[in-house]
Amino acid sequence: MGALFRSEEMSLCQLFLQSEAAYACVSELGELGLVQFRDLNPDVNAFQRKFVNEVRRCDEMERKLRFLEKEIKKDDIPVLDTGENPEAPQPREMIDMEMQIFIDCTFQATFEKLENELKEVNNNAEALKKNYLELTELKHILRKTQVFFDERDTEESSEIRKSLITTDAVGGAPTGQLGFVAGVINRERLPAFERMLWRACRGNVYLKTAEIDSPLEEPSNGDQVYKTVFIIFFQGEQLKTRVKKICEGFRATLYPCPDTPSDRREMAMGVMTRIEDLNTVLRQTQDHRHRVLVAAAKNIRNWFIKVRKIKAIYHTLNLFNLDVTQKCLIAECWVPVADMETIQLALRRGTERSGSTVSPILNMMTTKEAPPTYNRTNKFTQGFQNLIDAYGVSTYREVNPAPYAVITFPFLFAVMFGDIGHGLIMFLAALYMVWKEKPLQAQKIQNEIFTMFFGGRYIILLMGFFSIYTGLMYNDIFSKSLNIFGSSFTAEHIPLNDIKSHEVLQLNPNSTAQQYTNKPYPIGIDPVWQLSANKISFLNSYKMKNSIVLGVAQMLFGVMLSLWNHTYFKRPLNIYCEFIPQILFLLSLFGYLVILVFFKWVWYSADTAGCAPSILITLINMVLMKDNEVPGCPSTVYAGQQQFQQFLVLIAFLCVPWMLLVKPFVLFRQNSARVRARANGVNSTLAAEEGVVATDPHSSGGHGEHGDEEFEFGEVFVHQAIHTIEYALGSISHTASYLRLWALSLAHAQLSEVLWGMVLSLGLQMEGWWGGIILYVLFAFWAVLTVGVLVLMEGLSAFLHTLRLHCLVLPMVEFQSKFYDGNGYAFMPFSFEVILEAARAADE
Amino acid sequence: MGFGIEPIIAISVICGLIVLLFPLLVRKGPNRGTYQVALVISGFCIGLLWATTYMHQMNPLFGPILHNTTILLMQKEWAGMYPNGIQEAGHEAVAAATH
Repeated sequence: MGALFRSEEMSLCQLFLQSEAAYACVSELGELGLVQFRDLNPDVNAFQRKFVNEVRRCDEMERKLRFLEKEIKKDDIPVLDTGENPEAPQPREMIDMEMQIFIDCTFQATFEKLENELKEVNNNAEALKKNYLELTELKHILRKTQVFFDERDTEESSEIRKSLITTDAVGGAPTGQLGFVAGVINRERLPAFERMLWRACRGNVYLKTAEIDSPLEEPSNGDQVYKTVFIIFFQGEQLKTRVKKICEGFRATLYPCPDTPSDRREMAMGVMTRIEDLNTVLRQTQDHRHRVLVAAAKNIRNWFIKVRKIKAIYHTLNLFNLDVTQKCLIAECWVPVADMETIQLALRRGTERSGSTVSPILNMMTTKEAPPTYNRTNKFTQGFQNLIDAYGVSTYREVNPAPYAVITFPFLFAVMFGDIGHGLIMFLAALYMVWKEKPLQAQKIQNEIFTMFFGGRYIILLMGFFSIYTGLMYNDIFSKSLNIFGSSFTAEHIPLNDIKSHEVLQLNPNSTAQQYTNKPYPIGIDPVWQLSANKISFLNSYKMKNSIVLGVAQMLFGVMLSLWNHTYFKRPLNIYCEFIPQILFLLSLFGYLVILVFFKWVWYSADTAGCAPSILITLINMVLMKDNEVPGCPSTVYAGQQQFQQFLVLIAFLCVPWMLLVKPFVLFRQNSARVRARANGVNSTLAAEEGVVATDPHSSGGHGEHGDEEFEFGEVFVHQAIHTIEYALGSISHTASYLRLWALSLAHAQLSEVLWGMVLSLGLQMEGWWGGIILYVLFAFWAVLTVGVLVLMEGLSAFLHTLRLHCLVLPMVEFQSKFYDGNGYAFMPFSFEVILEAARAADE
Repeated sequence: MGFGIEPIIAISVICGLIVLLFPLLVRKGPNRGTYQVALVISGFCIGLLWATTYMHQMNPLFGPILHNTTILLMQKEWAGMYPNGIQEAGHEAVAAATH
């Protein structure tokens, strides 16, 4: 049997690992990714497990690595991603001191050293920078204030003094000596600062400012800020304290400034040399830090992978049981039976690597638990399997709908999306993604929408392909038709007088009018319909019938698959009491409907068009057992129609109690027979062994088994009733539901026609040279709308409707509800690949 | 009721190839069955859609309603009438139809 039709056969295994080999073996299994371990100590708290220390150490390492990574990113150093996949570091002996030393020395020590170094460097750098800033500011102050002082000493100063003294003269004797304060303030705070000073000191201070041209770096957050140097002259101690307070409030930095020019010059020289020194030190520290980070950047990816692998291994080891002798670890795991060999090989490799002499033992166990569902997919089937799993993971070994959905899904999509042009756009886009698969994968693009499309590239490819085909059938390319084979309708014989006197004319396909060649257009819809005014009524009847035919075919196929399920699980009762009535019900009502559709196509021609019955009315009358009265026509389509239809309705109605009642009663009788047989059996053994039976382990085990399948008639009956109602009503509503194929394809065709008529055809009708320019613009508009609305949005809507027809988490799905249980749980193997991918996704 | 034998043969051959021959050519491997099933179903779907489309047109119950300018153009382009230009039909709608 093929790979995807049913999930893999699984088996529960017990794994005995020598404790020194356990680490290496689990590491090998993680690389393989085919084993799902079960938690054997579910009651044990996460903090009380055996390897909790190791896990914690890994966490710590991971934290340090993240810190390093952050620093690297801050400095814009490119991280080397070689894409290689280093194995988990191999300790020679597990749970031994060596392991600890190994991790500590190689990893931890390296990280710690780096981390400390970095932190120190950072601290130093900050202090240095602060120092540097202060000095630069001081340098500026000295330079700028020099100018002020020069001014003061010339004739202008007497004016300053005069103004300050005259206003303040009332308070006391002029001292003749002005005090001053010099400092630096943020430029944007300056206006407020000035106003404040003026108000607080009642205009008795004299403020001089000079802007520093180059921005200075704020050491705390690295921002570049513009600052201004100011110097305030005032008189008296009281004003001095007031001014100082205001400066403080505005976070201006004040610097001491010597009074005499020579002192100032000296100080400036000193400051300059100190700044030079600091610059050198700063540069060297930066260089060192950079070197350290560059070295780390080369290895950080590998380190991440290694640490995460170690952590995953210890997490897994925590799930294991320790046996009494403490010499070996016991694990329980689900394993695909087909991969037993590979797993054994991996275990042997792990043992060899750890140098252990005792090889691990893998034992199959029997269990009543339902195994996990594992569908082995490749890159092509992966997308389809994901779609199916959206409905629910299939029950273990149940028929998997994915291989059928590979075609039915894109095909039903295409029925709704039929347009050669739009299909071609979709097909080419997917083809590009398939073509450039490897490079695109290597880029690891994290854009959510792109990954979605990329993940479904094969689905989109097939959807595009089938859309081209259905477009060919609908004869629709951007709402225009192709006339490849020549239309079957001809207007040759219409006289010119008729054309002149009528604005519209209807061609007549009957045998006398000579306007129809009597052979349909070979492939697809005749192009003449695209030009006609009654196109919609023609296409409606075509697409409606089409969707009924496809829908009934798919539902029948679904019921057939349920037969395969029943034979596989050996449930003959389900075949007789469910499958047969189900298929009879479906065939007698909707199978007949399809036959009527074909019958009408073949039987009625234009000459007898007046008597062609409406199929829908016929079906309704059939169920209501009424006659189909059309005046002037025979009341039946074929001889014996009445009787045959009544017979079919009778079968359909008989199928309902058949589905509803037979199975519960058969089960009930089987159960009572079993109970009676057991009672007899117990009695006979009792008679034979006289009381020994009570302690006999065999009989008590037998009793336990029967206890699991306690029969409750009420429950079974209710379940069956729900199932029957769901099927009978479902068949009707599902058939109607398939009409969405018609509705969506009609909507798509109309939308693309409107877009053509309202946008591009306007441009094509323009005359003159400017017509070309307008056409150019309109074409761009049309192309954008075609891709954005018709391909992407309409495509999405058709996709969702197809998904609805195939699988959604509703009880009323059309295809899968016919056979699909979806009660399984997915196989989640212990795999480094998955763990690393998840960690990477969490990082970004 | 009329039908041409050529398209029926052509489509039967194509679908027959997809359903019968191609599955034999699928490379051996674990997914061979999946691909074979996919080919069979796609052959069936392609054939079914073509058949419904073709049969729907075998006995058209009514013909297309056409504008008279469209009919004139059909006569000119598809039937080869009015070799000297459509103006010879002499109708006020012709001016519009010539575009």
